[in-house]
Amino acid sequence: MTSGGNMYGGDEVGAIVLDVGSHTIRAGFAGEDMPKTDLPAYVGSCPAISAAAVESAQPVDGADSGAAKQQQPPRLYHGTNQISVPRPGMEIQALCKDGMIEDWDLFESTMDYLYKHELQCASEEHPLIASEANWNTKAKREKLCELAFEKYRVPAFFICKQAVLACFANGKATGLVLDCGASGTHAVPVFDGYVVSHGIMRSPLGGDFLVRQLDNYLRQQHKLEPVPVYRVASKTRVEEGGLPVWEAKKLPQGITQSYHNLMVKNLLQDVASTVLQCIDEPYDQATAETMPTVPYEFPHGYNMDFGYQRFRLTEALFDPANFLPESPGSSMLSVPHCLRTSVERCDVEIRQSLYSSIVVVGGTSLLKGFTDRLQRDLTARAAATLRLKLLASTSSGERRFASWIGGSILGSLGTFQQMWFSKQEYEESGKSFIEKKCP
Amino acid sequence: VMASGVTVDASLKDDFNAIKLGHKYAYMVFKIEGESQIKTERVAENSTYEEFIGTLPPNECRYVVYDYKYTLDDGAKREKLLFIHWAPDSARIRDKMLYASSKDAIKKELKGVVEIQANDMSEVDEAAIKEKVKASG
Repeated sequence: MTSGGNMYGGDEVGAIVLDVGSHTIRAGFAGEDMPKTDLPAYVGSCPAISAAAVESAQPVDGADSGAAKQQQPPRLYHGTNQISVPRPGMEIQALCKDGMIEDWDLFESTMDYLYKHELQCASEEHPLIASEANWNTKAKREKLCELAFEKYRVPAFFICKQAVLACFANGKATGLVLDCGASGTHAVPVFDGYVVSHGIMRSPLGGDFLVRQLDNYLRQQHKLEPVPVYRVASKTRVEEGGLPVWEAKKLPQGITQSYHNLMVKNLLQDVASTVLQCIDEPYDQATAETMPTVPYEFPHGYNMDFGYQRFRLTEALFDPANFLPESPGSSMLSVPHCLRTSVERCDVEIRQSLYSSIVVVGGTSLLKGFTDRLQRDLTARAAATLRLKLLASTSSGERRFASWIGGSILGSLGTFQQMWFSKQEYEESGKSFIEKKCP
Repeated sequence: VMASGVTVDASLKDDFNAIKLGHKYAYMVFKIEGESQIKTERVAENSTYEEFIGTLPPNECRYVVYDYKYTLDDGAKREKLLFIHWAPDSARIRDKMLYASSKDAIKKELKGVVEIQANDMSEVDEAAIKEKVKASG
């Protein structure tokens, strides 16, 4: 059962709360403040022993020669610890695409892993409440519902749009949810608990984008190849900016490019969250140079002080036209512009309500100086009479897990127990009944 | 819409009619009891708007119906019922989620109100309210 800090409505066994994102999957028990686990939305996949090896290992069995030629399924690895181990032939594969579950086999293997190793409970004993992408398709939501009831035999199921959960968790039934995540920044208007679909604006300017910016800068301008920790056996202390002195680890053959890329990405995410900052006014080189520098020591010992680049690299979020090196003069919308466009796509009567209820969530929004700069840029372009208010929790957990937390609270309310899509209803009416139960 | 399942106490409808039709009260405050039912917490027969906002709990959510009387620029007198969804920033996240997801249940019982979402005192400031009420026609 769950640990302290929870409140059940009745004697019901606690519900499981699942919030699937492109970068991580959050899972845990309803009633708790935070998810129990924040799992990468990737799986490490190692090909099985080859058909030839299978055949040679087994005695000849005439009738089954066809089966012997079959490949065993790949061996799958989940969670940061398992995925981080360099294994020959292990490819990293993503579960999601476009913010929605894409590879259902890998997703299923992740659910198996979650129940068995992270949550350590029997799926058939706990109702499951899941979040979904704000633009999730009917087919995908029904498929998840079917998987939950058929394979996991859950007693009850519920699904809800991420932006609605985040909006409610911030005390608003109507608001503009600005979700700054890994895959991008999305502006999602919510009106009276409904996502205004035609108002959704999606921008690729997010965490992954910043990581690429950083990667380009380090390789091209700084001539530094980011060496992830898995390749380092030992390193020697060097001066700031001095050539790194390190010993490479002896690694097995066959480490894949996809594995290496993920390890580099993880490293750069750490660099980004340590050094990057948003400057509070439109970028000015002279001002940026007066700001304090932040040092970073790479796994192979290279020691670097980040100066104006800390601010220059994030400026593309607010001014892509001038600060996107690979496509200068880009017509990509800045984050504030994306937000404004989203609001402007909604009915004129609700726009003031949306502007006065901007709910900022997502890990990338925790970037130092981000919300201040956003507030400033929005105010600068707004009419004097416009009321602008950003709701951005000071708790990093509440920012990163807003949707999960909303689901956790909902799933633990006594009154919510009658709202579930029950196993019985599923058996009687089928998966399409979900549209009625979870509007 | 996605709802919490919280229900509205039966007598709430009578209380609402008392203010809407009978103009008996200046305002009434509703609270969710035991995370399960919305009930009338308190009423006030006489109050100014300033006095009323001073009584809003600083760290807890509430729903309010306020019988707002105002004067137009041409001197004409008007009266509108406000429905205030009060969810201060400093309230617990559980409280915020509960009230936001239960709002639909109470709103269904309140006809002909102008809705105000407020997370801080500036959003219930009389000037802001008056603008909203005038805009609603």
